Amino acid sequence: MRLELASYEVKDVRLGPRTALRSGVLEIDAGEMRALLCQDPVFEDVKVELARPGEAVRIVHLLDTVEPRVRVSAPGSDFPGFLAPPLTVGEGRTHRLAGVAVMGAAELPLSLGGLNVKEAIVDMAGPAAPLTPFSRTLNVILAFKVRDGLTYREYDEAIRRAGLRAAVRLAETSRGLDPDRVEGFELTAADPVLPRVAYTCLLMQEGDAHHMFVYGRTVDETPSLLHPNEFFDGAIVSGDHHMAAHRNPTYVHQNNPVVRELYRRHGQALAFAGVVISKCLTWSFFDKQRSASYAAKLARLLGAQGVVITAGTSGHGVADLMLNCQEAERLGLKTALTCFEMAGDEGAECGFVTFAPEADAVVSTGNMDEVIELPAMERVIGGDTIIDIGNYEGGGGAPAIGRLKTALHRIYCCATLVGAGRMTAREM
Amino acid sequence: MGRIRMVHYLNQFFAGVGGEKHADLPPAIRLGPVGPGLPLQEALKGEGEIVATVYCGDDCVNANGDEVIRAILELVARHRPNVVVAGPAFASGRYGVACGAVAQAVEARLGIPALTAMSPDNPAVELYRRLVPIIPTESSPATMKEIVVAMARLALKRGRGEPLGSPEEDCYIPRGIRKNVVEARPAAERVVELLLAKLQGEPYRTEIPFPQVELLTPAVPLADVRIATIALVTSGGVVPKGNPDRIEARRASRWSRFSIADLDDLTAEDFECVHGGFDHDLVAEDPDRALPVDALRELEREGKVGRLYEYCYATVGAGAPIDRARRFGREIGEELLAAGVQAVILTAT
Amino acid sequence: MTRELERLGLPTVIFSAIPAIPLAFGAPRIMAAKAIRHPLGDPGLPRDRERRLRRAMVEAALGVLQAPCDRPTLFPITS
Repeated sequence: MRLELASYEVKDVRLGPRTALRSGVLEIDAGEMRALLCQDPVFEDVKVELARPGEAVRIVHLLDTVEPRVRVSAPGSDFPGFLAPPLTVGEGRTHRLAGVAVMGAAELPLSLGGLNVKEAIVDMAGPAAPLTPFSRTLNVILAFKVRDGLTYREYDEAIRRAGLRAAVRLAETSRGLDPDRVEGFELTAADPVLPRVAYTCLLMQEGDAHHMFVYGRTVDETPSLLHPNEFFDGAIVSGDHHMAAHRNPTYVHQNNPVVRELYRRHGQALAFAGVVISKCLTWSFFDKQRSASYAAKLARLLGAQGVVITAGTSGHGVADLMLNCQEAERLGLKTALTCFEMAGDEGAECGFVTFAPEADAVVSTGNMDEVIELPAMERVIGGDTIIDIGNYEGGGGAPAIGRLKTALHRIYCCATLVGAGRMTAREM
Repeated sequence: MGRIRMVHYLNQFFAGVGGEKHADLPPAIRLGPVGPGLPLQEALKGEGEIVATVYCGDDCVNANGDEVIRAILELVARHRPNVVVAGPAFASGRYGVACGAVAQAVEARLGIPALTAMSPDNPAVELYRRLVPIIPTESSPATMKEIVVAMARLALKRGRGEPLGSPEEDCYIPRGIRKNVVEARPAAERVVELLLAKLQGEPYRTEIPFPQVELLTPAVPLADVRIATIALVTSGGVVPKGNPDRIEARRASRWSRFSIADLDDLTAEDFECVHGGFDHDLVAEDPDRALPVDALRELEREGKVGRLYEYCYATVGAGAPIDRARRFGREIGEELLAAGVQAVILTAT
Repeated sequence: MTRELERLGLPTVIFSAIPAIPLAFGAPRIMAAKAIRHPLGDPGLPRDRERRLRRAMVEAALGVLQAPCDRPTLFPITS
């Protein structure tokens, strides 16, 4: 299974009369995009807004983020399970607009009890900017205005489809152009002396605002295998609208950094054995044990000697992470994990939900409780007021454009659990 | 910048004015370095100087608290130092506490950087390591020469206004505080690197060290549950409708106590679930699913349990810091004991 | 919280939907709750059967409160 990923580096993005890519500049016809997306009657309006690195712009009420990609060798097969039939992807030739992120923003007029959509903020400049990967991308924000009176699920599905459609539409501008770079991805035979390493990616599912999709379905109770290329081709789509800090949006899985890193070192320091996906945040201990043991077995069937396991979410999703670690180690596989911390605003509290004695190799994606002071901005995209949900150490209900003190919980993808970020916590 | 001005704090013994008998000596001051201040001054290598030495009896500091601290601060402030160094206190508990208290007060109230030094198992370390940097020493004063070098280094750095570095860089006891930094490489690269080291049998270090849980001797079991009083406690956030004690959905700062005196079960009309960490409609529909009042009442009526205590206790477990949870456990436990409760059934979600 | 109650001399049974957590943290007397969303219940059962299940779990807990325990243990719910 070989995938050729052709990258088109985009240096700037602007609105214009025609949607096209010219000399590294992406021009977008906002009217055409609006017409395309407003075909869905759920939307009253869709505004296309732009945000560039370094601008004094704040984006709020963020939902999913997608990288423009299109499978040029198999037209009509993009984002299987959503825009296309749920058929296997990961082969052929795919184009991507590197440096562009399509972001969905909306304030949804519904509350879902304990699992509300949480606030999610990106600042393109200022102290929060280095903490998110999306302060360095050219962001095309779709600000959705939805009609009243529909269910959360209808809004969620419509917004998700719209974001994916917009991403494909933009990627289409690369057809017929020469790419800046082409990478080939294939699991070639590796020296048998190299250690075989598998990647277990925990994906969460819980309720309506808090789930990940694989080929259009939410992850289920029995772990399964994916070829790493399937990540690059949109097999995994995010519906995670929970805590902003540790979300893994679609964009992050399209560029899954663990998959990329294992590919990079394949044939040199290790042999990339393959990927196991497993559900986390299951409600019953019975299912947690079952999934963890099953996932460990799949890794072993791949011939792995070691497994990288990335956490899927916080709360009792950490118990899943630890159980996966224990079950793998029990089978003789060595493990290394990623996890976040919640050590209080001073960093002085016990930062983890639970742990296991076998979890002796853990990489931290940072303390999400740390508080940051955001400066006032010149422009805000996505909404006017910070959503007030739960105890996120202040800021709730404040005007989005002004100065804002908030826990890092609200900063989009600052502690992304698949490890795309560089924020971490150290003992001081 | 000229030479860094330092004030050195000592106890009566190291100041050379007397031993145990003089432990109640009030605060006093001498110009220049005294006792261990002499090797410390030498270690400053001309980049700094000890302009004054403030000393006080250990018992005086420990017994009179704030009053004496204020007097010490006043003496320190007179010499406008760039940095204050206390000790080293080595294994002496009282001296360690005095050094910690003085260093902390200097930082907090005078806004001047301060540091101290003592043995890692000095009881004062647990009290002060989060508040001021403490350089670890050996237990005996025989290693003074090496310690003053470390103290001088950090003192000059802080005296120049430079921020405190990591425990490794600046040689102080880790404060147990986690601080975010931006690494050179993303977590994904670091986790693969970590796994490879583990697979190749090379030394590796976790970024999140987990604690050793101390063995706790469980409480003595009940002799006869049929004559015992049992209380129900939950971290599942079941509270009376309207949440009168305003328990937060996450990181709850308190617990709620409410009466179930005449109730045979909990209903959705009178109770609700405020836990923000899970989908709680099923518990809201029937709160007995998290606080089994109905089951216990039935068992109470049949004589299978002595008595169901008339109060229930509830808090929310989502995002609960351990120290806070411990405090809740202690506070609730003390109330239960005072009320004659003998055992607890606790439900967590 | 459980450890502090035990430390004060109150034998405590903790019903947890994820027993791995109290086991890791050293709570002595642990029993498995049915599920996170319904620790002592099961919405899949008709009302009276659900109440009987809850009663059986609580009764088992009363038994555990009288049983010897010297280290973190996951006690089964057998009647």
